[in-house]
Amino acid sequence: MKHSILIFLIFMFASSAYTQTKISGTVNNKKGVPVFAANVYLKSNPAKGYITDFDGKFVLNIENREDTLVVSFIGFKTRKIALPAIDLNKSIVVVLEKSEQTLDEIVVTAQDPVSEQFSVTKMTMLKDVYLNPVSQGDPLKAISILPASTTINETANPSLRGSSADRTRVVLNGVPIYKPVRASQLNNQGFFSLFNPEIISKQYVYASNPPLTYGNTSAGLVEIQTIKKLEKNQLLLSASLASTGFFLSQKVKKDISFIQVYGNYQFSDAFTSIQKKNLPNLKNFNTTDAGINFRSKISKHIEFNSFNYYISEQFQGVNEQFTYKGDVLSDKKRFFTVNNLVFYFKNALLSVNSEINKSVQHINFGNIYSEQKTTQVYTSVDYKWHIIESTNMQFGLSHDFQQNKFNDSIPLYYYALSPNSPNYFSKSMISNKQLEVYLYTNWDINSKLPFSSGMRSNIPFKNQHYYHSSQLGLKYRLNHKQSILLSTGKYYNYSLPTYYSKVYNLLSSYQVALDYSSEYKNIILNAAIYYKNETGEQALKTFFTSNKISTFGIELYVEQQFLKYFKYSFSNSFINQKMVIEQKHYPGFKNFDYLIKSTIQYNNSSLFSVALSYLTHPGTFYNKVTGSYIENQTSFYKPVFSKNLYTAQYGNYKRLDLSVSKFVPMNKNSMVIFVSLNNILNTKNEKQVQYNADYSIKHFDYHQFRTVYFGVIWRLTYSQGLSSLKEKTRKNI
Amino acid sequence: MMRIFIISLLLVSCIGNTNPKANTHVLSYQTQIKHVKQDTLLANIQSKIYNAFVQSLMSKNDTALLKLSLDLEKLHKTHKQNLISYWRSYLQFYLSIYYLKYGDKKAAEKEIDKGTEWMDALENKNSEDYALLSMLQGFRIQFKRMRAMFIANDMKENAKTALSLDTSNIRAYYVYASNDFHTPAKYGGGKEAEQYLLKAISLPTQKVKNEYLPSWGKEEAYELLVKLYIKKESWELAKKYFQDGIKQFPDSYLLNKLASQLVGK
Repeated sequence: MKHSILIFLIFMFASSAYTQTKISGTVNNKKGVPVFAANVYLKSNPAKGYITDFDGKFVLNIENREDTLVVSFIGFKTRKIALPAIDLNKSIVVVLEKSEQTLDEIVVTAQDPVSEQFSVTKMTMLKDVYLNPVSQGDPLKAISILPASTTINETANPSLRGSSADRTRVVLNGVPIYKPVRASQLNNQGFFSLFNPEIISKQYVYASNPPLTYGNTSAGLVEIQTIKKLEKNQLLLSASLASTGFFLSQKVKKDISFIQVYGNYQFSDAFTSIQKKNLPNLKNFNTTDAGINFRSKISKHIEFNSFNYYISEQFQGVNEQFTYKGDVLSDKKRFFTVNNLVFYFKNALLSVNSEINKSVQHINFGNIYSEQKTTQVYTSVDYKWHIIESTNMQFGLSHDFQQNKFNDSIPLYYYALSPNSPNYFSKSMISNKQLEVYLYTNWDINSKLPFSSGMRSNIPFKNQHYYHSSQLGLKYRLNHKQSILLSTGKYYNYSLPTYYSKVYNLLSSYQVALDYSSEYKNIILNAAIYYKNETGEQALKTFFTSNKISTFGIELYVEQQFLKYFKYSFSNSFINQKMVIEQKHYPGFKNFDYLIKSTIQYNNSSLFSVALSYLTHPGTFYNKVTGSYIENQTSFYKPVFSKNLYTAQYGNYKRLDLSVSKFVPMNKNSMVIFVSLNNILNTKNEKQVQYNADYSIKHFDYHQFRTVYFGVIWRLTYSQGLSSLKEKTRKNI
Repeated sequence: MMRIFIISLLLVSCIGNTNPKANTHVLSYQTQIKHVKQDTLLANIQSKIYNAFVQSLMSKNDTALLKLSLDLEKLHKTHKQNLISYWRSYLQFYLSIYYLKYGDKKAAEKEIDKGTEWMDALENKNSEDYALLSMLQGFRIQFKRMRAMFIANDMKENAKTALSLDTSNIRAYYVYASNDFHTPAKYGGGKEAEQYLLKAISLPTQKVKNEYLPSWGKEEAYELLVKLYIKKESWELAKKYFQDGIKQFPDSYLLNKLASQLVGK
């Protein structure tokens, strides 16, 4: 009897273990959102599974209580739960976590700026620089196509939304590169920047409200990042009317390290000899520059990047100031090194950045002689922390040391500049230190509403003022093609000393801006409205200073592709700018009723590309000379300026450029032939007012006349490189 | 026969996938408990889209495709699921082929633009999403001469991303290979297709059978591989993979049409 009972109990127990029962529940992601179409099955029988419904719900038959429940979906980690651990009487909730990214992805994502969502423009080299009709292959010149760019003196040094270039900073791999342009006006096409587009992966433009992850800017910011991954080994050879150069990109160790080495020599002989008439102020120039960019993974979680650049320039031209016209000679040597060490953690990134910059420059014009030696040492530590899925935080510390040594001869009388006119010698050394700490957060309130805030303060040295910068940004994505960005903040920076202003002035600004952007099919539409109030003593032309400039601006930009190969862009900016000089208001240098930039391109890679670009704006204001008298001590006429400052205005600026290029593929190599014709209408754009000896007759110095430039670039890919991805998949294969 | 005719139309106009038939056996969902509400529209949606496409071609009328498109749109309004966007975009691909077949290039461009934009706009894209996006971009290039260079670059990047997110996604391998196969040698194409296709045919169409999820890619990979060997005049390999493919997809027009090129080789 006992045995019968025991057998019965055993049978009951055993059968209960294998009796068909059910398990029900819901599959959610980490945010609690149901996962639709997830696979839910038992390990012993994957074919007999269930697929969750829109509410993430499932019900599954269980035949073996000892089995394992498996839940999987694309892009999520598969969850395995032993059935004995589940209370089958209750509905269960299975939470799926996203699959872990590969290290490469983490690296790439983590290195994007924490403030990326709040940049107005993100530029890529191929689309926004090489195919940009106004860039001439220069990454900073490419910015001038944007409506926010208010650079009007044919230079690559960016001026954004009416502010002087000295208030906007250019940052390379997290460190500021001051004066990021070449010293001499090469090719008479304006100053080019120091950056070769081949070393750059991304360029962000913050037209207003620069992120406080960087300091020392009170206008906008251009953030440049060098390439993180080298796709292929290649050699570029270039030759043009005024230059010859090479650029070598080489992997050192597959997926571990690469090096880019380049050098250029620029010369004026051919360029000036074929168009002497149109280059009246250019005698000769020659420039040699060389750069090395090296990147290496030290370990799985540590990377090192080093960019080193040297440039030596000589320039000889003709200049005219007041009543003296004569040769201007300049030379400059500059070297800087930017080094970054980056540590990757699971949810964070620590970077240590440094820069050393040394330069020496000489200028001679009439009785002016200037030698300026500059030393700059910059170090910063940044910690970027991905706190939760919707929130990132970055904080850090930076130290910027600058020293300028001047050894000058200065005219005793500002209007007497001939070599024989009296002058005096002056030696001075000035330096400045900036120690700052910052905190920046980026919070996605929801997928449509990212919010950012930043603050940055200095730790004053000696007699420095304490200042505190702060900012807020709110972006609203109407949909994936349209967004509105509202940003505001208070910012500080120090001016850079020059021959005329040997001082580090503390400048500040208050800004508010509303930016709209949309992209529908082939049409891009951007618009902005902004106001900024800039304070701090800024040197103006002709010995005046302004301590307050207010700017109100409206911008519009439209770009459309049509008829397969054509594209046009049109932008206009209205800028109302007032500056205060000795408590009186005057129109600012960027006070424009219109600033029109227009381009039209035909781009057919199998035939050729041609682009026309047009820029026009009203002339800037200058001080009129109303009379003069002989100054006995110098025997020079001394000008008498109008009491009403800045009432005279230069003529309207107009410039039409044409560029043509032909891409010739040659198996895995290629060649690009290009020709550019600048100022094809040969418009005389007034640059600077000049006078005869007694100031009775005025004439003008002009911006560049019509010039032609052409050249060829060979791109030789001598070994197809493999990205880490390809390697990974190949191994898999 | 009609199926053969219809698929032949596809080949004229596209490089992408044409096969709705997954090489999978049907799951025994009948055994599941019925009280959990299942969606009927999305069940076997890949086949439904293909059938609507065939119906549209046969009748020379886009009604079947448009009706299905409308149904998906309605469903998407109530359920903002990425997966529904995926199938809507996938349908756009067929709609574009349909219009292209009947010479309406404008409509074809418009429809593929829509599909690409929807996929592009998806947040938190997974490997399947990137693979489809890359395929749509590949098809779209023919309409966008001015932007061909950028689209080609995006297409390649998306295929790479699809692979990096799931190194065993057959469609990611197929799309990557297809992009490489169709890139002219003078632009660096044609070097990697073979190994990626060999990998693709070694993978299952789905890891776990799921009637809501995509299962295309294998038949297309076989077809492209055979074409590749024919192009290289590697006749033995072409015949080998033709036979392997036809064993798995005996009714495949994509493969059968290549047979004539292999006869006597």
